Amino acid sequence: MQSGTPESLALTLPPEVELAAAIPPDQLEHLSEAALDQLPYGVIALDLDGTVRRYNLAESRFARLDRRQVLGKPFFGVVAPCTATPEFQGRFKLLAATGEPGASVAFAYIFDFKFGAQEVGIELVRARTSDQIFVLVNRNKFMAMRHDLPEGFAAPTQSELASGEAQQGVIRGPHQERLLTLPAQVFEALRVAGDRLSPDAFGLVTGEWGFQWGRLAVVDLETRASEELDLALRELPMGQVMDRLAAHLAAQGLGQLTADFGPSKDGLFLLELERSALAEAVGLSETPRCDLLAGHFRAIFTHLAHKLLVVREVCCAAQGYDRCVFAVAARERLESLDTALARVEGDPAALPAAFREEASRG
Amino acid sequence: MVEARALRGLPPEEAGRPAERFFEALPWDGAAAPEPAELSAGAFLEAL
Repeated sequence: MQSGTPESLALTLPPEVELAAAIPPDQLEHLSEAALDQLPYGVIALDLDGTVRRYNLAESRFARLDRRQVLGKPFFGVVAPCTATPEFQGRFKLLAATGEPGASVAFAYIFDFKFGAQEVGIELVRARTSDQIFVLVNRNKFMAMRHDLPEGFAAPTQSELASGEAQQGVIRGPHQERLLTLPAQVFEALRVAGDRLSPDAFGLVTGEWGFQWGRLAVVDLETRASEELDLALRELPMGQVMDRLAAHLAAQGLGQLTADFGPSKDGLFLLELERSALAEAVGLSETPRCDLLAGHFRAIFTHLAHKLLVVREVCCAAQGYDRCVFAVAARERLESLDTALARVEGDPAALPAAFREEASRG
Repeated sequence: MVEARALRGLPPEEAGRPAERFFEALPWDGAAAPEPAELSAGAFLEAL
């Protein structure tokens, strides 16, 4: 196994269930689509004739292609002509013809796109239980587009694969991800629906929804950090990470985020969100209303810290406070956090001391 | 060093640490991290 290949990248991640899993390459075929989408590197499953059967979120973002335009198409002939070479397709064909189940081959390659070139580490893995070959792609370096290429060698763009999307009511972001422009009342409607159907359980559901959304958002944040800086988020200075995260939220209209690490000596830090779109959408409430964002933050900071964390909303603008404040702590101290939260009754300034006291009792 | 706008409560040298190292050093169990003077030279350098 070469250094820097997807397997070594995955193995740097802790094995806990809610952290990104360490998946041996020959086990990828057993993962659901959702699980593949939470991996930080590209995964493509091809039939032995090269037809694309699976295409995960990271690959979709790095290649700037919507998987709907990719699935079912010939990988070497249509999706990635730059791989129709003896170095890539030749190895693929050899593995397809002679490889035993679980056999693999790793090599370095350059992907050519019309927006830039990417130095990648490739691992081809013959599936054990199906006639498929998994292509694992680890981005090592991002470069300018190469211009001395044969006609048709670089991969096509999204608009070349699917023309006229704007006329079909499709909006795309800078990585060709499909976007929705929705009024914030959608959140009001969601909350009303939750209150009608199951007010007690709805916070749990939206918290988990936010957590799963956060795990996918991590892929977007990592993609951008890789492309722009050739670094993973965890390698960036802490202040820069927070600025990127705040910009990410603000660009979506969710509000302005600031982290307060003043209480961190007690094993706790606070996230303050001004102008929360969720809180402002629901009107006045007796209880915090930003469960979705609490789950979102839990996923993102669990990823950044490589540690299982919990996030609780201390106070919410929907309750009449001037901002929403969330507390982040280690999951093993959840009980202390919840007891402290009940004591401080929405006062973030009192939380660190209460948390410290509760933890010392525990 | 550019001041981080979305971060409070940390001195600039802490805000400039890689997130990975920062979170590793955060005392999640509430036990205050030892002052550098309390560490051996090797442990101090390792913690840098």
